[in-house]
Amino acid sequence: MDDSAKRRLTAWVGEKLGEPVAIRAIERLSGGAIQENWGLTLVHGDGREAQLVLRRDAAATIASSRSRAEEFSLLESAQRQGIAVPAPIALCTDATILGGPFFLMRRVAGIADPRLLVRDDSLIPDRPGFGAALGAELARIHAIRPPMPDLSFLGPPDPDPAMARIRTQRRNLDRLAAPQPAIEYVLRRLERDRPRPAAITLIHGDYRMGNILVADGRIAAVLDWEFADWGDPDEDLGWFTARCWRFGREDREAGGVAAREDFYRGYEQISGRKVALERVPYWEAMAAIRWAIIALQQGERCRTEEKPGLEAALSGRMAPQLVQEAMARIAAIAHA
Amino acid sequence: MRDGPAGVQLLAIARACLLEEVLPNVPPAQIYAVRMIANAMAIAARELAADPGEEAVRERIISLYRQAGLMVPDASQRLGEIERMFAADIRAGWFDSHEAALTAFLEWQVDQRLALANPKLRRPGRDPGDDRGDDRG
Repeated sequence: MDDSAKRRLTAWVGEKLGEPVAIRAIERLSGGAIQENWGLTLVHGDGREAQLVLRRDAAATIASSRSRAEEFSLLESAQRQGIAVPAPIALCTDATILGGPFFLMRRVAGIADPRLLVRDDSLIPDRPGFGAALGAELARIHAIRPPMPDLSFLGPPDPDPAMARIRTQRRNLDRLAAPQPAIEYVLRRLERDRPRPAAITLIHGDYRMGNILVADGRIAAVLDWEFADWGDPDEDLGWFTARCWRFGREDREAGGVAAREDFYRGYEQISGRKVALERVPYWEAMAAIRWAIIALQQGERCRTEEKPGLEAALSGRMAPQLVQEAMARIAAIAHA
Repeated sequence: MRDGPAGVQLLAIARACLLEEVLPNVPPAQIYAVRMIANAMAIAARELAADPGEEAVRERIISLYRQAGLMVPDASQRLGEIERMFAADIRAGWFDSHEAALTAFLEWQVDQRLALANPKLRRPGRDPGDDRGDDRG
């Protein structure tokens, strides 16, 4: 961010908060291929300091993700519902400030790196309690139900969310260079065996370790709402427990950080709804396939990038293990 | 003819040097990157060494069409074209009633890719030595 952009930003923040402010430090934060996150220290007129995060689109925006304005509204709705999120502060849709829309939210201290959180017990001393809290937090998200005037941009909910998801995956497949017969087979089975939705609620769409900020062994914030939509709440449950999101701790089936039973216990306590175990393999297969297609997309994008990153270059090679996992879960549906 | 060692060997030597000589002296923050580099080199070496086995894949797909009583694709097409048609026909449900034969083939194909991308994750019972015999059958 150059000096003139910083000056425009400082003036805009001051106007928004109705007081003169200064921005002391601004640094690009790690993570976020789709969005850029910048950490900034805001100094109020009376000398108080506030740590904020500025979130804006990265150069290459994936078309399916929500706009910054929509993500801001989602954060506001989640905060009203008592969900742990970084408090949204101000939204800017005026492109003359930073060249595109952005918003400010409070910076929450904590660790989101799943590799640390699965490994280091000192970060999560009470894993059963933490697992239950993860379930409870997800149940609070699922308590947001349509219609919601503030979330009208989500459009009317699709009565058949599984089929909607399958259609999206097929559109993504059609844009890949190489045909994927095994993925097509899994999607065909998911089409034939799709369940009636348990309910239609808000779903986070990317609820997994990596998007959960942890401090003092507790959930400090649920991040990255860019895939939120109306949908089948069981999809979020399956995404969280899918084998591909355990970061090497296969034995801890809830995100590599806790036991599946603890996660479900917390979810059931808050939602008042029993988790339908027979639907779990369905949504875990969907999770593996969704991730496989993202991995293939990342791998293909490397071919057109000037300086492709090694992690992205290798991600296409993760697809076979994800497809294998999806096929194993599909077989479990048949025996359910 | 290139001077030795061959590309596959060159990769193996470079990888051994990276893991045995460089990695122990790398600061903790860079260990993950070095491991990724070593992994990328291993995948590239396996892919360079592999027999693409295109003929076998083509034959097995055509035989699936025969078993399902469907119109058989033109075998003179490029494999990519045959696979594209095959993928579309699976999506359209033409193989729904021949699921056992279809999944047997797809599991084999996924396993072949896994053998290159991440052999540690291959399912037990798949002996790497079986591959060649299996796909020529």
